[in-house]
Amino acid sequence: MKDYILTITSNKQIARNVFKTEFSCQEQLPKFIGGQFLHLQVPGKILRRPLGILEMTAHYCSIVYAVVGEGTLILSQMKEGDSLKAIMPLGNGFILPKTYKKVALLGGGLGVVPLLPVITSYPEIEFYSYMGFKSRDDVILYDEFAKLSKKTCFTTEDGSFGACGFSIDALKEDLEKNNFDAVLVCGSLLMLKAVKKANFKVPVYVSMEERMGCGVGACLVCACQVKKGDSIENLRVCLDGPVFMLDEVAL
Amino acid sequence: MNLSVNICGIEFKNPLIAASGTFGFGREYQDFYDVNIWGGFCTKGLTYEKRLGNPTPRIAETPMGALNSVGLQNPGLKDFIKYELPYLKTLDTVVIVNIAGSAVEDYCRLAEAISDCDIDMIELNISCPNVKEGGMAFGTRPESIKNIVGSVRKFCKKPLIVKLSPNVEDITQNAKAAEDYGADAISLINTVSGMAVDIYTRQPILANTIGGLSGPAIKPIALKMVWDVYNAVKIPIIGMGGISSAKDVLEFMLCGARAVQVGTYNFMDPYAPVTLLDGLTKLMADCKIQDVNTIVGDLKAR
Ligand SMILES: Cc1cc2nc3c(=O)[nH]c(=O)nc-3n(C[C@H](O)[C@H](O)[C@H](O)COP(=O)(O)OP(=O)(O)OC[C@H]3O[C@@H](n4cnc5c(N)ncnc54)[C@H](O)[C@@H]3O)c2cc1C
Ligand SMILES: Cc1cc2nc3c(=O)[nH]c(=O)nc-3n(C[C@H](O)[C@H](O)[C@H](O)COP(=O)(O)O)c2cc1C
Ligand code: FES
Repeated sequence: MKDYILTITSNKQIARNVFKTEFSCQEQLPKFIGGQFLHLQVPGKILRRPLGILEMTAHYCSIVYAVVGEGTLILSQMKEGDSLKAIMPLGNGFILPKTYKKVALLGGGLGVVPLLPVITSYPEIEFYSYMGFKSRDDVILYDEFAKLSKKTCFTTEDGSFGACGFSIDALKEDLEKNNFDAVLVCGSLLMLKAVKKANFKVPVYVSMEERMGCGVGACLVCACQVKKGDSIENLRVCLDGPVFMLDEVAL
Repeated sequence: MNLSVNICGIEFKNPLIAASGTFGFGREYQDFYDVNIWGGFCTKGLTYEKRLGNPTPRIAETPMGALNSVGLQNPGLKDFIKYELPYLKTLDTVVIVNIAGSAVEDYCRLAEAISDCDIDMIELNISCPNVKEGGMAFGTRPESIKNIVGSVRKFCKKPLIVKLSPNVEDITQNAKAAEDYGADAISLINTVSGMAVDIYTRQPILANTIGGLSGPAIKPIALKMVWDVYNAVKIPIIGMGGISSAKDVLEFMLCGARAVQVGTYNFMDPYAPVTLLDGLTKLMADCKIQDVNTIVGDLKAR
């Protein structure tokens, strides 16, 4: 990991309140695994913003983010040619064993972003993608998932795009007939709780979200409670995560 | 050009010290630079028993600052000795262990145990605003400062730095109490007690409701307190609060700090000491300062 200077090559709105920013980087960027993130410096802000990496090649990377507060608003207004710094790639990402052949991806809202590059990180695995949104205006990355997945199921809560309902319900229907080796989840806390309750009989990997200070494991701001035997430990979302096994995290 | 400073007989190769709580136990920034570049570093606040700290969210952005409520999460003495100390011993920089507790006795037995470890100095944290038990309650009144510093002094065999809180009526009284009862040096300031609110959820942003403000927003408060304390005590002062440039370092030293600690700036720039040292040598050349020690307290009164 390193602090890279990134230059914006394009900054576009791709859905309601959602932007995609593409960067070029003069220095050679390292390899990364889907689920890893960058810690982006926003002009005028003290803390950096953690955002999932959508794509990253030798001199290119991209992110997709929702405008929710001041930092992401400033970011969405930046122009082509503007530069900012980012520490990357951070976190463990979805590290999967070689034995996996068929894996389900379960995403909600902006949580779909870090799941897309998992598909390209593991070309030998077949991925089935279940992605949920509130409404048609919120849907992102449909074409990308459709191109790379064995099966793509997008749902909206109001039925305005894809199937009507929650992505977890679409996945539940398929769980019986497909022998998935694992389910990878990234979404809201509500979604993670629903997944915990559903008690899938396969390993479940979850990407956790927590506010960060340093992003590199030094400040202990981003604690995630994990069960270790009988005791509770605090792991760091930025360094030990953001990906954890669902059965270890205390939700 | 001389950048080295001496505090309580301990040589620092430069006046920059990583501030407690922002630099873990020293490992995390190894990927970015050789951590021995720091003049010294101060470990995350250590308590006798392990602590999990406060619930999350534990940080919020504020205008030119950050508000945190980590609440002294740390592995406790036993695991510190087992897992962190061996690494700290390999370092070629001054290692200061920051200690905290819930009762005077906790501080004493911790100071005693740490004194037997191969570390350079102890920083007594009696100023953490983020814990109910211990922390700031010990460090806001001269009477309680006398009691705790006096007691810990008996068990502490290393140079003792007492870290003061800005959340007080008169910081000079507290500094004098620490000096009178055995502090070898004073460090200040810890974070300023504060709060952040979300108007949409109508809730405090931090799970702990209140937190400690750090970063550039608190620099003027810290500078004044360093200056006030410099004029009130004879022992060396380590200044901190919002330092994020070489210019800031010189400002603190002019106000009387013999060294400085750098906290939140580590989050802004992961190469903090590299950037600051580079800036410092350039700025000293510009200002024709040969020896950094010559500017300590050299603020011209108006
Ligand atoms: C590992 C990780 C990956 C993420 N990936 C994405 C992504 O790909 N796309 C996306 O849209 N969002 C993602 N998020 C959430 C994103 O970090 C926040 O939406 C963003 O930081 C909000 O910043 P702001 O300045 O607009 O909000 P403000 O509320 O103004 O920010 C204030 C502070 O709170 C922090 N903060 C606020 N909301 C969150 C949050 N939900 N999670 C973490 N910190 C928060 C900010 O980083 C900042 O430090 C991710 C979070 C994590 C932890
Ligand atoms: C995330 C965080 C954790 C901290 N933890 C401690 C601690 O454990 N012990 C302590 O004495 N000070 C702690 N501090 C306070 C800093 O050491 C320092 O006094 C304060 O942040 C002001 O300096 P700054 O503005 O350069 O950050 C912490 C500060 C931050 C931001
Ligand atoms: S953000 Fe600092 S430890 Fe994770």
